Amino acid sequence: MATVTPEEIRELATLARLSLDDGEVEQFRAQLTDILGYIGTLREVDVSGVPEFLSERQEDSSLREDAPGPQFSSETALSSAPNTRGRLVVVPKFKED
Amino acid sequence: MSSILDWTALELSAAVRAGDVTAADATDAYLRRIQAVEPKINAYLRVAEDEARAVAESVDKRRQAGETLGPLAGVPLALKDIFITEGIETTCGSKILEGWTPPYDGTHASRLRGADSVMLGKVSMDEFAMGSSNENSPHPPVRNPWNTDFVPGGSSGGSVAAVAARTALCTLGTDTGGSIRQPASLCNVVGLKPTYGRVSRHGMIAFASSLDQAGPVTRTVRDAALVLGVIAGQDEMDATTLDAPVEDYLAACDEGVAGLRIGVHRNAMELEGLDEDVRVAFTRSLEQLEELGATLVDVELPHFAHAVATYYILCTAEASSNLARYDGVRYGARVEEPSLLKMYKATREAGFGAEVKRRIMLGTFVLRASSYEEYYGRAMKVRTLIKRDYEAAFSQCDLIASPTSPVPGFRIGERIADPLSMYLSDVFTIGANLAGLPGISIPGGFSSAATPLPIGLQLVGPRLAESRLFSAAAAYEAHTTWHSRVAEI
Repeated sequence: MATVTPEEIRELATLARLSLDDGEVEQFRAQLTDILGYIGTLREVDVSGVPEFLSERQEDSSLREDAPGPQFSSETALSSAPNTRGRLVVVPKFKED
Repeated sequence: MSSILDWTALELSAAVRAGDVTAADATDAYLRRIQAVEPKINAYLRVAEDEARAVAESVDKRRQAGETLGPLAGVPLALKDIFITEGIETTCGSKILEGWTPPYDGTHASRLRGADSVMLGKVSMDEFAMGSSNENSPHPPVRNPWNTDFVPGGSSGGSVAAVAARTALCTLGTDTGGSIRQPASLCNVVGLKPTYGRVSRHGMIAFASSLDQAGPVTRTVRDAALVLGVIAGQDEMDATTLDAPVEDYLAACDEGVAGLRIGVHRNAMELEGLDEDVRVAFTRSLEQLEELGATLVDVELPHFAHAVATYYILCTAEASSNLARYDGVRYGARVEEPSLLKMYKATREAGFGAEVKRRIMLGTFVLRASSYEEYYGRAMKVRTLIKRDYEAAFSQCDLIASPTSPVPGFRIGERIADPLSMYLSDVFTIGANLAGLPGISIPGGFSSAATPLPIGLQLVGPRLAESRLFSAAAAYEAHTTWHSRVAEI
């Protein structure tokens, strides 16, 4: 099993929208190397010709009727958001400087 | 003298309906018990004392007015903090949802309320249900009522500790890889994970949606049957719920275990790290099932050894997607930063604990285009093989028995620095989640330690065989006394 590099940990953190400090990078690097070594044992299993898992419901899933039901007012729906203005959610600018 | 705290949910609800005791008195008794022992156990994140008293009073008023009360009339219970409760803070054990007061009840809270139960509050858990010890939490660790130096198990640690400490008569937990059954085993209570789709997931904060399932934690098998009857059934808010009829689970408890074929996977008994006390207790449990008229059958689960690895690929993949929604925009905490990306990162860095970050990272890794086939795709195929293993085994037997947990318990702090050893505590429970099957853990013995710790017996059944699980579990319970031992706190 290949070891995970600090660069890979930083790249994963960016993809996952996490900002890790150097201590966390090293800790996760060591732990993920350990865990990936363990889950890599699945390579021993012969999966040729085996389909990916589907739950019973997925096997017969269908769309339900598109009927309107009760819904929250926009005030209620927005009551959980940390920062709002009128009927809008406030977020900082999305373009990096 | 018998105290109200000694009554089962069946007994208490019958007494409330008959007017022999009021819901208000029962609620008071539990609130006093919470005050007395909660500082030693830390099971509750918040006690909704005023709301509980108000609900209890309204239940009593309706009885006085001649109304017929529901099956959980006056039963004081608590919900794992993963269940969404209108007007009561719901955090899923995470700092990232601190202060979030949901504008609606999930299906669980609303069906339990509709059955006239009294919700005492929200109980502790591993953050986002990720853990087997309840230590992955920004809150003080929940303690095992049988020995407060030990973990209660997880992730539904608060749910089981509250029932064992008698600070709730029953609770709901959730089980993604064993999170109801493993802690039930560690705390000498009954814990049921229903068939995937038997109980709605609406209003249950998602961890790994293809595996998550809610279920009851109770003192007796019959109480578990009673609660399942209330929460089970199709729900238009969750398209994965099954339209199969909700059976009379209480009646099933009288059916006995005679004539049932109990499958035993002998190879699993060779597992490295299986505690000797657990092995002895399990062997004795099998003998007791035989005495009750069951037949033991050897079965094979050829991919048993691969279940934990499969699970940690799939659950982390799903978690990394599900937890992408916690970004400081729509609910919960936000760390203000000058740009959106910086705000996302700072919010998630401050809001998530180490285990949640570790699983998001692992899930991000296995879903990356370059590793998808090797990890996620492969694990989805092994999941099919595991499901087929169970189908083949159930062509030879009616239920499969095993220990619930390989060890009676472990000390607080003992495994927290070694995630892999923590993951392996779910080795006996994960298979049922991967295959979507129902499983129950019931009290099945005690360890030989100076301060004995409980040991659970697990039974797993075919899809939608909850009734059969209850038949066997209730027969075993009637034949043994483990469940009637009470933790001294």
